[in-house]
Amino acid sequence: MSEAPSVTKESYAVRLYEPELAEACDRFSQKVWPKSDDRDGGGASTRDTGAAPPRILFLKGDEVIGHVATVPVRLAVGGRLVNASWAVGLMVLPEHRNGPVAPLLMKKFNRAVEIGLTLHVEQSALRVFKGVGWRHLGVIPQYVRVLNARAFVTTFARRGCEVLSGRWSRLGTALARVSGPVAALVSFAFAGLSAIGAVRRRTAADATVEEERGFDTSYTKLAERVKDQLAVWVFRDEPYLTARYGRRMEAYRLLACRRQGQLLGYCLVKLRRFENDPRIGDIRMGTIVDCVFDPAESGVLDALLASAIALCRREGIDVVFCTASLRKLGQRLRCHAFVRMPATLNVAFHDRTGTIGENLPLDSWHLMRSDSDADANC
Amino acid sequence: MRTVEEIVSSVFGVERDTVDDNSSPASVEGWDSMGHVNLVAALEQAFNVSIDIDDVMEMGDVQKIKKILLAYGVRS
Repeated sequence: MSEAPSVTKESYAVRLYEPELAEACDRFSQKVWPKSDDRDGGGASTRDTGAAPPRILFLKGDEVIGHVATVPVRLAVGGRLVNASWAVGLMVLPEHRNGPVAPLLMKKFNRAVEIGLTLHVEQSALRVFKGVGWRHLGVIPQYVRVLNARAFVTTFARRGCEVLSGRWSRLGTALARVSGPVAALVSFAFAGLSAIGAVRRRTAADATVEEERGFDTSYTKLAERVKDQLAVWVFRDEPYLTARYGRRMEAYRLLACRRQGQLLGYCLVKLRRFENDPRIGDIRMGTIVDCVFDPAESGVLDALLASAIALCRREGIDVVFCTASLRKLGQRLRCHAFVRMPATLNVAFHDRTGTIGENLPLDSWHLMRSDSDADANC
Repeated sequence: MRTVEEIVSSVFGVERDTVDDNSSPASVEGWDSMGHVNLVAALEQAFNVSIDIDDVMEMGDVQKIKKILLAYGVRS
């Protein structure tokens, strides 16, 4: 195969991050994430050295024009722990988005990381991932439980009028006019679903759910106990949880289910009040971002979900969301009057080791909003 | 030996006679970022060359591709 020196003047390169590129990375981050406190795009600090996770940069001369970072995790695959990395912060400067920057970044990523995972909503990103050999698992189901039907209906009717067009806009206008009766219907429907679901809910004998502030070794013991009961999931031991949530714990509420001190399961809920948000207007939203439970302990998951809903009610939350791939979790959410709604969070992976079976369905994976950086906007 | 026009036609699934020197991402459906990488891979395979990343970035239309390939000793 013959090679020739470049005949063009610009000098491009795809490189792993090195400390000498820190200033160029900072300039890039300021351009693409100007309002973010964390300008690393979810990856390692630009100032990190030594064993920092790989970040891949696309350089034009001395300037960064494209970037993807890695977030290393340990993945439990059929109970076996393997190293993997989330691909986060895939970003290309707008003026270079029609070129091959993103695919070339991801090709380098494939060479740098043995098992890569991604959660993302953009179809353009999905095309790039699939184009460089990633397997698209599907879209993670999303569930909603309405607690305040009036707020829910008025918010979404008003937003519908503003953002929709044609007959959908007229429908939004009509809905806004009759929001009172519609809210009553929605409220009645969710109360009915809850009553039906209550028949199928189980109780966890002698177990109690209480709010906790941080993580201890019992979280590692729970992870060890359940790791081979889930086909594929990010292994959430104490160090992982502390690194993932520790710095930002004030944004989450941790509910733990214990029996005689033994941790049987936990969930993390993120509460947020939106004001004049372009997508969802003014609404108080709760999101169950993470949930780990011992599948052998009947009733634990029901106890956790009931406690999460009760917490959201106490905090005046209007609507609770949960994004969950695991079939069992979806089934239990429905018992708590959660309704499946259109979802957008795509999952894809790339495995050079062949550890993850090609035919494992998405509903056997345990993926939630807390995985990767997918809970940043909820 | 295949021509650049034939390779563009094959990679993007468009009629051969619709591809000319001016064909570019703006005029060929599917010639987006991923399509560009696929096109480069097809060119490398067809002409047995390894195209430098600087040149990959400059392949803005068929005419530029031909000019760049010429520097690799490929007359297409």
